[in-house]
Amino acid sequence: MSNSTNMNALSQAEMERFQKLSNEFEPDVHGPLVSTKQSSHSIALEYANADPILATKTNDLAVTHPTTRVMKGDGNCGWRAVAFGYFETLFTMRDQLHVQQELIRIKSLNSYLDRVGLQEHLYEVFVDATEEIFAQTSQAIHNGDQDESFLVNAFNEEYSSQAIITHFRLLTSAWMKLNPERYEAYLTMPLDQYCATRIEPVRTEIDEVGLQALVDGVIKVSGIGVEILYLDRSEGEHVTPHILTDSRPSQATIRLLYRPGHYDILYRAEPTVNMTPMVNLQYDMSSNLTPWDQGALNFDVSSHLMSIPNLMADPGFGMGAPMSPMSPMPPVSPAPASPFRVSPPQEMYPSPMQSHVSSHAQSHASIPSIPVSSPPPVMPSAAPPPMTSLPSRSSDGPQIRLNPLVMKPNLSHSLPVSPPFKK
Amino acid sequence: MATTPAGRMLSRQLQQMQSDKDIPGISVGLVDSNVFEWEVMLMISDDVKLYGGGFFRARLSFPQEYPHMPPKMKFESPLFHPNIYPNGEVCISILHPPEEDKYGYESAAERWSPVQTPETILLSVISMLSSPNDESPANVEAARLWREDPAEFKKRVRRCVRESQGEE
Repeated sequence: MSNSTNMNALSQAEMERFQKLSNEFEPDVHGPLVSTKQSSHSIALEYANADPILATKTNDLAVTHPTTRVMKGDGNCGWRAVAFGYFETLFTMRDQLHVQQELIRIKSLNSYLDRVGLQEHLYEVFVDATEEIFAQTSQAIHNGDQDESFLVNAFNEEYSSQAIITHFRLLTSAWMKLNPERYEAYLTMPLDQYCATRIEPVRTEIDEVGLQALVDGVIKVSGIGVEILYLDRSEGEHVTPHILTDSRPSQATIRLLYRPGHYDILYRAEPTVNMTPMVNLQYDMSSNLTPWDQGALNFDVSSHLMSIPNLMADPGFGMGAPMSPMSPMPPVSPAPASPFRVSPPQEMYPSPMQSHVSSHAQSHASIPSIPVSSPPPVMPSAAPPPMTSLPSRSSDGPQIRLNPLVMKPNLSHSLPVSPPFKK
Repeated sequence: MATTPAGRMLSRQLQQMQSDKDIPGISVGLVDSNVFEWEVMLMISDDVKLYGGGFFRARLSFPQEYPHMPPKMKFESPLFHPNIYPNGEVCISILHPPEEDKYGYESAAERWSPVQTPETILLSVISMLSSPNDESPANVEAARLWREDPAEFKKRVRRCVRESQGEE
């Protein structure tokens, strides 16, 4: 194998071998729907003889995120990872009041379903399954259960697991239909058709737009963050993080490992050393960058900018709404005529519960903010952040990153490394 | 009987369809009081060219995983149509189990989703009668005649329709 990490230096034969390895990556289709926690070293082992960049990144990942939970690759994995992660996080927080608030909030979202014309008898079986998991979560906290095995068992029960996922699918679909201006620009087909063919059908894998909508419509108001770590062949030693919720510190965060066509759950090393709260750094950086940024960029049309990780990370920038008074951050200079917003907050269909549940609701409409990459968590003297500008595609070698909200109709076909198991 | 969520949902949907006066031409009932086995009679309106006037009996067989998985539909009367197998089984995209993508439909084709109901299925099947999809024919001969010999196709279909009327 070549010692070089420059993909261009690899021979054709090596490229083909890596391509093959990449294509042959398949999630476990025979294992449980949701596995128990296991060491992330297993991921590193999968890539030990593969592309050097992937090997480096997975080795690094095993240190920063030492445990993982494998989702069965049955076309539901992304949906299941978020749903499982949501309940696991609620359990881990062990806040009975929060669990009850969330139960009430999620049930109140039935109003979305009613508004898009679904009859209750069509969806109640799914809501019932979700409610049952809430009850089990509450009971486990009450019992002082040590681990989340009750959740693993529940999510491995095929019928109710499917029902919860269907519930989340239907809520996501309804949310998108109620907030079309937020998503239409990113779709390659009419929104109703997208929901009917990509969101609602069983075992249809979630894509980037759907994941953002699931987080926006169902998860975000809970105060639980969602972060994706992309395992791709971009330059760098770390997997590329992307936060789907606001960058202000969440009470807890669901972390997903993304490989083309598949999601698993990751758990960060605790306690977190050298993990400066990202939000402060990003806030400072984005404030400083305001002047040049303002006139030069138009997020409505620039898919290049949308491809930059952490683009949506800073809730403070580009928002018309004032920061929540509970925010620990200093007030942001108002940007009322910001060109960066896709839709103003008042056009969003408000969650019935959001004002009672979390001040995070204020940041619902935080759409594209400034293109700042996350600063490297360690060693300020090290090389500059890897992604402060667009990577040069021509010199990068194969790119398998499929960043949120930039899916082009044929993108997945034109990439050198194709998703190996599209469902 | 209907103690599982699937069973409860089906009995409710059966009641709803039986009391709904807005779906003319469809009547449903259970086979052996089994809520997972429905007997269906489609009385095709004359608006549906070729098949109009037919009385077609069919069965809907629901899996225990319903509504996560679709039912199967099988006509018991002979029915000559490009998307109906010679044994009567209906081949339509919304009834394909999700993992079976072998039919190669466009991703835009309507797929099974858990908010489909027996009623939406039957309405789709009636609509399929008047507009066959010859991309993935279940009855190759019917598909060929439909494309190449409309007169013969019509003759064969009308024979089915007459036979179905004779059954009554």
